[in-house]
Parts: sequence; structure tokens; C-alpha cells
Amino acid sequence: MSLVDDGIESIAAVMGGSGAIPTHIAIGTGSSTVVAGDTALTTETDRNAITSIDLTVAKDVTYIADYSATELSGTTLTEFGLFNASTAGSMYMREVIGSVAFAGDLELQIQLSLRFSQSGT
Amino acid sequence: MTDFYPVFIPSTGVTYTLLTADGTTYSTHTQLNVEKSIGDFNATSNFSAEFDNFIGNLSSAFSLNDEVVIYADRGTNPPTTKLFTGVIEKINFTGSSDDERVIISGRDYGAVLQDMTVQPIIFKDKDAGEIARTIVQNNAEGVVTTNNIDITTGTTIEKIGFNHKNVFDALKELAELSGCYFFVDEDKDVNFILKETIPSYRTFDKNSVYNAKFVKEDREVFNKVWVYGDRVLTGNNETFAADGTGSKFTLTDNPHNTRVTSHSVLIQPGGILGLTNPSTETAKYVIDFNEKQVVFVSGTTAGDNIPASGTLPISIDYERSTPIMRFKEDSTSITAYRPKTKIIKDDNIKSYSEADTKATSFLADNKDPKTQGTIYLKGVLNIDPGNTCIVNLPWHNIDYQTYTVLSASYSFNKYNNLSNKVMTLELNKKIADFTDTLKEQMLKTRNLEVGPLEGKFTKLETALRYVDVDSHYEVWAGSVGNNFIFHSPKHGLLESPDSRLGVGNLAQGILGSVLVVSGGY
Repeated sequence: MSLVDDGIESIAAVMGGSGAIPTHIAIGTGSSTVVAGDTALTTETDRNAITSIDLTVAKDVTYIADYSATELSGTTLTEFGLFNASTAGSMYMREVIGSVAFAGDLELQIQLSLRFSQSGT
Repeated sequence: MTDFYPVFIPSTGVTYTLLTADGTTYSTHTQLNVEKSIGDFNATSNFSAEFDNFIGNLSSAFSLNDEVVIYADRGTNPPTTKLFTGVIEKINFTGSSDDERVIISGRDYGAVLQDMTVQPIIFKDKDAGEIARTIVQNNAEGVVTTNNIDITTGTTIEKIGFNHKNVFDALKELAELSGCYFFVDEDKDVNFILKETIPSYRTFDKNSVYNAKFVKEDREVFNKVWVYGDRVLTGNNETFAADGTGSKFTLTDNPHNTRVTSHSVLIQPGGILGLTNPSTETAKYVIDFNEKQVVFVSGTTAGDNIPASGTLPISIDYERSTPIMRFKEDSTSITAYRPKTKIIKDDNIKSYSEADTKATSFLADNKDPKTQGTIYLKGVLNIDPGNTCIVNLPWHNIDYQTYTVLSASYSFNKYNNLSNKVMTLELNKKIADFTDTLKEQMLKTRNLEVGPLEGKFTKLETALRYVDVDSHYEVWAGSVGNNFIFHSPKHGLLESPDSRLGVGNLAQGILGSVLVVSGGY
């Protein structure tokens, strides 16, 4: 998973009390290489609200979102990203994976985690 | 008749050099000099290159601030080993149209450290390396990197401040305090490393040294050191009995900012002995600073100010000026080389611990005579300043002794390259010369110009921290089969074609879901 510039700026803004925390995970069918300047998925097909935020591991935060078999039906998933709004918004992270086809019989859960540590440790 | 001259035809190991300026390759230089040095040498690495500029063919080839990279190798043409990276700071054309030459010169990216100053800052209880890293990050960020600054040198500095000292000299001071050396390498990375920890595994003897010069002298031995920092004002109060006739009251210390009360009444104004005339001025008392006395006066204008008698009617508040001072000496050195005193005055030293650290490190560095060696090498090309080497030159009374390389100078031209005599090393300790003395005076002047380190513009800094953010993802998929899923917006609606009968969904941890892909940490 690659943190993009927008995400780094958003983290800094949140630390300063003016940003928005991640609220949604979007999925898509694009396959362009992730670069730091990415601000959106290449081809977004669906975006769901985060269903839970897990803070049980110290210094880690995990965002979880679920997608039903119906909404996924016919989709070939190749990319997903973490956002702070239901539409548009700032993208924190983007990842491109090998294609996963959904034919209506599979549901999906995506878990995205961030781990914070002091530089050099 | 044809004359035949013996020609030296090298078989292998000839030295080749290459220079690129702003990405363009040049190999026609007639003379190329590179000097790589560490902070102890009081200089940053530099280069100069001379080209034939026949009828001006290189008249517009170079520009100031072009990045220059120099490569050198033995037996490899073109060479690929990067020896130096820097920028052009001077372009010098000389000669006439048929005999024109152009000489370019400049420094490596250590120049940034010399050109930038440290914003006013104070560090407390930090490792010297950590302080060095923060200074570079705060003041030269984006130009040089800090990957090779050792932040665990083992020397914790209780308190140290910098006030517009240039970054190079700030690092030099930290290096002296912690037994480290520093330089900027050819990858623009600042190295701050403990001395004598990186051996070159090279021994230089009669086979590799074709000339040598070693100087050992005690001119710079100092075995008694006084370090004076700033002065600190501390408050004090003394009370005195009065007999109604005595006018002089002697304090314990020389008084600053004095306030005098007599029988609980503030006496004012005061004056200064010798400057204030009680017969014509209204001063009710005068301060005799040198005698530490408060003298009540009487006169036509001032009136009779002699305190009336009482047990403790006179109360004097004043401030004592206490110098921050540390003295240290080394008896062994005194016995061996006679007493030699050094006085260091630095108003930026604001605490006893700073003065103590300064005195200790200075004494350790200067109690013994310094040996500076110069060796001229043949067949050697790659030695990094800061590394240690072993020297075995019995005719100089040097038998397998380990020395630190202070600087490595290269002189490349066709003669030196063919004979492989391109390198000169300076070893061990730099003996101060005129340049060093001049620099010391310039630093003192700058300290006077910027004033002591205090006031609202001073930042109290512990360290600048960076946070790494790593990420991880997991994509899980599970078959829903014909499950009816309570509370599911998709599969839990009656009369919906999506609704199914069964247990749970993936979000509720259904068994049988599979990890499709994961990545990150």
C-alpha cells in the first residue's frame, strides 16, 4: 500500500486539528502505477463507508470496509484506496493489485492499516 | 637520421579520469586537482580543472553552479568510480587567443555547510550526533542528506547553544566534543562518524610511498586551560546594624543593581563614588564598586543621609555577577612539555557543564604534541579521509603506526596518471597555520557581531523528529452462497433479490473466507 502526497498532507492536517480522518475505501478497475502525486483511483467503481476502525495494536490503525456480492458482481478489482469523504475528498493511500474477478457469489472485505514509528526505528 | 626515445608504455593500472559538468562529459583537461578532506582539516573538499580553450572552443561550456562529478579509476577507461561531486564556483579564463586556457574550480556540497549559519538554538541532554543531524536538517535540508550521521556517538552534551555560527563550524565543534569527524561524501550525504572506527586496511611503506614529510612540534600543546563563559547575575541581600554615625557598609561581593532601604524606607537616588558629587547632586548614597561598599552621604544638597541607629535597619539588595568558569590541567603534559596555558572565552557558554565539557575536550585534544604527516603515494587511488591507515617508514622513526587520514589530494595529469603518482595524504593532526589562526579570529569577530545567545529569538530545541508511516493491506473474499444475513444492507432485506438465508457475512467473520492478496509491512 502506498501513501500518496495527499494522504501525507492530510495526516499532517489532522495532527494540526484541521483535516478529516479517513472515512471510506474505494475500489476500482484501473491499473496505472501508483505515484506520490495520485489524488484519485484511476477508474473508481464503488466506494463504501468504513465499517470499523481497529486501534487494538499500539501505534497501528486499521480501517475495514465491506462490499456485498451484489454490488461487486461483474467487477474485476485491480485497485483500491483510502479516502476521507463519500465522494471525491482526499486520497490517503492507493494500491494496485492483480485482478480479482467477482461474479456475484463473493463478498469482499478490505483492511488497510497504517503503522506509525519514529524515523529510523 | 631518426632519433629514438625510450617511451614508457604502461601495461596495466594506468590512471584514467573523467569530468562531467552539468551532465556533459569532458576528458580533455590538462590538469585536474581534487582535495578531499574532513572537518579536522578546517576545509571542505574542493577541485580545480584546467582545459585548453583553443580559439575559445570552451568559452561557453561552463556556468557557475554547474554540478561537477569527477571519476577516476586505475585500468578502467572510461572510469566509473565517483571521486568527487561539487559545483563550479569560479571560472577563470587566461591566455591569448591561440594559447587560451580555462580553469574551473569549486567546492563539494560541504560548501553549503560553510555558507549557511545555524539559527539561534539551544540543545539539552542530546547525543552530539543527534544534535549534528538536527542542525543539518534544520539548516541545510534538501541540499545534503543525513543518512550517515551517527546519532549514537556516546557523547551526551548536557547543554550547548549556537547563534549564527556557520553549520560547518558548529559540526566541527560537536565533532571535537565527541571525538568524531565529518565530511560530505560524493553522494551529497553528511557523514558524522567516530574517529578511528573505519580502517582502510592499507599499509604504506617504501613500496607505496615515494616521498614523505612528518612534522612533530609542541607549539600547540596546551596543558592548562581556562574556559570562561558568560557571567550570571544572582540576587543577594545583606542587612547591617547602624550606630547613627557610621556611613560605610561593606558587602560580601561587588554590587550590581543595588537597592538600599533604611528603616524600611527605600533610599533613592543612589550614585557612584567618584562620579557623583554629593555637594551638588541629590544622591543619598554612592556605590564604591571595587571596595564593595555602600556609602551614605551628607551634604548641603544631598542632606544628612547617615542611617539612624538600630539593630538591623539597613537592608541592601544587590546582584552578584558570577562568572561561568572552568579550569583544568594535565600534570603529565606539564611535566613533559612545560606549562602552556590556553584561555577560551565564549559568551555563548551559559552553564558550568558547557564550560566543563569544553575544557575537557580541549585538554584531551591539545595536551600532547601534534604530528602532521604528508605522504606521497604511487599506485594508490582510493583512500577516504577519516579512514585510518598504517604507516611504516623506519627512516622517519615510524614503525607500523596507525594514523587518521585528514585529507587526500589528487593531482591528475598525463604524467602523473601514467606513473600512477597522483595521490598525497595528510595524516593525523592538523597543525594550525596562518589560515586557521585567521579563521579563529573571524569566528571571534562574528560572535561579537551576533551577540550572546539569549532573548526571545532563541529557540530551545530538543530535536526535530520524523515519523515513518508504514502501511499494510489485506483483501479478503468469501462466498455468500445462499445465506440470509441479518442487518446486511444487501442480503438482509425481505423481498430483495439480494437477500439470502444463512449465517453471518464476511464482515462478521464467516468461516471459509480467503485472503486474496496482502502487502505492505
